[in-house]
Amino acid sequence: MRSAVGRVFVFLLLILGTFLWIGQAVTALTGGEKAAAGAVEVSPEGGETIFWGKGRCFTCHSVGDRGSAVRGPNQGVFGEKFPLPIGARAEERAKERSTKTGQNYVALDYLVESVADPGAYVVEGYKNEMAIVYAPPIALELKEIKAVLAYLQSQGGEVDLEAIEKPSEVSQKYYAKMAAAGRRGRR
Amino acid sequence: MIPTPRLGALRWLPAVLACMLLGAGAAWALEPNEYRQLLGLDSRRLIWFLAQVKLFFAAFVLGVPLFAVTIEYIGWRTNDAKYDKLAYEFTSLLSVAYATTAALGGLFAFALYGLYPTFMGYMTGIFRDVMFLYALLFFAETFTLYLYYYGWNWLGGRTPFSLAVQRLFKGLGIAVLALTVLFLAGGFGPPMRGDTRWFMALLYLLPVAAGLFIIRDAKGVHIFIGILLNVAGTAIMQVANSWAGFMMSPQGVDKEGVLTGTVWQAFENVLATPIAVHRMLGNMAFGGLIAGAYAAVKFIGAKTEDEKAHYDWMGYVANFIAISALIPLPFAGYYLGREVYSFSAVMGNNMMGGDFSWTFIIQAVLVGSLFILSNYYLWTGMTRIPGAERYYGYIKYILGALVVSFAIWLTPHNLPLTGTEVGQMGGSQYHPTLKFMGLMPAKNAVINLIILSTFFSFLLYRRGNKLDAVAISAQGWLARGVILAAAAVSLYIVGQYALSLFLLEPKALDLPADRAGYFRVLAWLLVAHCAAAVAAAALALADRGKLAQNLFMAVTAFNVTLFLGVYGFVVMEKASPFLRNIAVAQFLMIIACLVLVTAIDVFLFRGAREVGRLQWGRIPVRSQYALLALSFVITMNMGLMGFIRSGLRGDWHIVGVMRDTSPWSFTPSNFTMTQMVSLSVLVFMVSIAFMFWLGGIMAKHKSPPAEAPAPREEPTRA
Repeated sequence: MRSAVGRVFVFLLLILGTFLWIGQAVTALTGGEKAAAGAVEVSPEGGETIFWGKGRCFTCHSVGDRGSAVRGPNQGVFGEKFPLPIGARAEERAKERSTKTGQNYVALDYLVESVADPGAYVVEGYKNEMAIVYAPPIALELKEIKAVLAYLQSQGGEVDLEAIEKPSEVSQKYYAKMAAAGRRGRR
Repeated sequence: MIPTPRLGALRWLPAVLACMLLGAGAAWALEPNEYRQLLGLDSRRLIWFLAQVKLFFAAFVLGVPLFAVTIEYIGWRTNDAKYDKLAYEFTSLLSVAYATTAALGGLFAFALYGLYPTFMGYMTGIFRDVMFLYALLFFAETFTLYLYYYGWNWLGGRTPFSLAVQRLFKGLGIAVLALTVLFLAGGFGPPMRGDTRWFMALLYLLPVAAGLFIIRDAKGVHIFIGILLNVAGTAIMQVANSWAGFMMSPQGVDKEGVLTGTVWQAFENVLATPIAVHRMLGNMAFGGLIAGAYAAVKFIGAKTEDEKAHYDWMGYVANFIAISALIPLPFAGYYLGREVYSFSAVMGNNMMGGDFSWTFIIQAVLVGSLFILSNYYLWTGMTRIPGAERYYGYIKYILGALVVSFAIWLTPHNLPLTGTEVGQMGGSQYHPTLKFMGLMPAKNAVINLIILSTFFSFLLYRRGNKLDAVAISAQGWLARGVILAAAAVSLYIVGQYALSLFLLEPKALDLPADRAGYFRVLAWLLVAHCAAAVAAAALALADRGKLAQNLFMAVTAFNVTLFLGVYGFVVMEKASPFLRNIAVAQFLMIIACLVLVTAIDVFLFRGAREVGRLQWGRIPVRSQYALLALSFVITMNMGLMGFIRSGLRGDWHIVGVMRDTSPWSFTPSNFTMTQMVSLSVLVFMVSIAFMFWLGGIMAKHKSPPAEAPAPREEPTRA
């Protein structure tokens, strides 16, 4: 019986080893280990941490070659469909948005609106299915969303932290909405 | 004869602990979040490990009594002592694991209250009343387990009670049955979801009614105690599930976490019952496979032919039970997933297409392995059946279907590619062909084919040594009655859904009116399936049972896999919200097929001439490794699914109510998951092996309840 138990134990270790190998391989294939976001500053680096972590933006958006999600538009340069990264693309989209709404949109306004009201101007070929990132379960705080905005601006656009802190009238109404929602939840 | 008590005082620990901590709960709920550490360890990982190992033990302790009682009942009805002995052997495994489960529960609770005091204080404040119930249920489970295990010999008598006493029990049974019907009709109890009402009626009231009704002697009383043991265990599980469900889908509280509704609303939150249903089946499969692993180790180390025969048979029965629970498990999982989506689309997307999409690919590998291993065990088992070689030719086709299905089942929708690779694939991140395999229509089609293939393997196994089918017309009213009843059940299952689809309005799914045509196609397909059921029943009654089975299985395979596998893509494109109805239809047709084909099969070979007797014990040793692998894989899968379920909360202890502000508030990688799960599995397996060894020492000094010889040659199969 002892030798039987020994053989079974080795068999168990073999199976667990295979399981670990699969876990390791899949993790390596999908971007490696993640870590706690912690407190972030309103900066492209802070936004990058949120984008690829707590914000779960990566579950729907890739940035160029980074990431594998395709549910939402790629935020980098990717194929013929996205010749410009989002920082530069936002300028074009803001112009279109200004024409459609009659309001004066700048690139940042387009980005803020896309986060705060994702269904307002959906990229052609995609569904209106983006999560409300300032509501549970994602529930980003306004400061974290500002950091993500900086990160998106840094993708081929001009990072303007001052504008992010003091945005135009178009964006301000969205800020108020997101700030109120982000306070939700006991902590 | 009566075994020495070996359930220590540890079993009281959770109950005492729960009572001890109740008073402080409400006050803690108002404090800011506080986290503590023990010896500098990562508290989340510590809790994760303790919770997982505790859940493994709990699942075993809850799963084993389910089939121990069933096997005991079979032994009682057939007056076959070997079943009684087997049930006792299963229960003895239970008794050694119970004290450890309770001790782990205590350790887990201490760790939670010590390391996450704010969170636990809040939970205690909300669920104070339920926690008292939980503690009382522990008493109930302990007493019934005591009575069930230690009373095996004491309540083993078969001398019938007086008619008056028998009538009293029958009357009580009928009264509880009436209460069950009343409860199902909403006659009493708080307002609740339909699934909760059915869960409680079918798992609490109905078994008690049946248990009372069948009592006619002391053994019947013993079986009734076993039923009560199961009721108490299931209730404990439901209560604990309500807490896990509340953390994911809180009800009865406002956004500040203040209880604005009732405790019942918090208890019966959106995900509580779907999790309970899924866990119930999972526990049964898990308990069966762990018991099967025990038998496999015993078989591998057996010294005599009789020992081999006994443990071969034990492993077979345990595996049969596990597979019976495993087959409906994917459907329960689908139901749970659907409810997750219904509660929060973000959570649902994160599950299947976000953080956990690749975890689901690993899960697909594990689930596929479970089915392939189960089939492999059945095929190797056919080597102990004289005459089964006639069916070996089918195995390669079944294997082919399983492998292809498995490959599709684990194919991801999109691939992690570089821009260059995307360019080489024509500018798309989706592979031109494989992209279809990663979508739900393909997944649903192949998982149903895997289930049908496994069922087909089982049919071949059953008829392995049977020479000729027996004419059903010569078997009296029972055979005809059962087949007609099974056909009626099949017709009802599929027919009622067809009717509901004919009546379904597109606007109910937020679809334009012109999409109604897609509903009707599926409805007519279900009608065709009903027609096939009628034809199969008619053929069976006309002594063409094999043809009936082939016809119904072929129609089901075509409808479920081929037709709906392709049509699902059409629906996905044109009427996406209707896709879930397609999955339900596939499930119902499979269930209808299993019900009717099994009923026909039971009578088709009832009393048939045999090529030879089953040679229990004459099976390759590698089959036992398949049994062992099954138990390892299902344990790993439980750990993996627990990671997904818990991880879906993201950065929240309680979604939308209490944030996780600890340093560990992030979703770990799949590698971390495999590390934690592997460690938990290893500790669980080593611990349970140690406990079984301890149990074996005790058993050497005790007599089993019946001294029946080991079933060397056994004509009866489950």
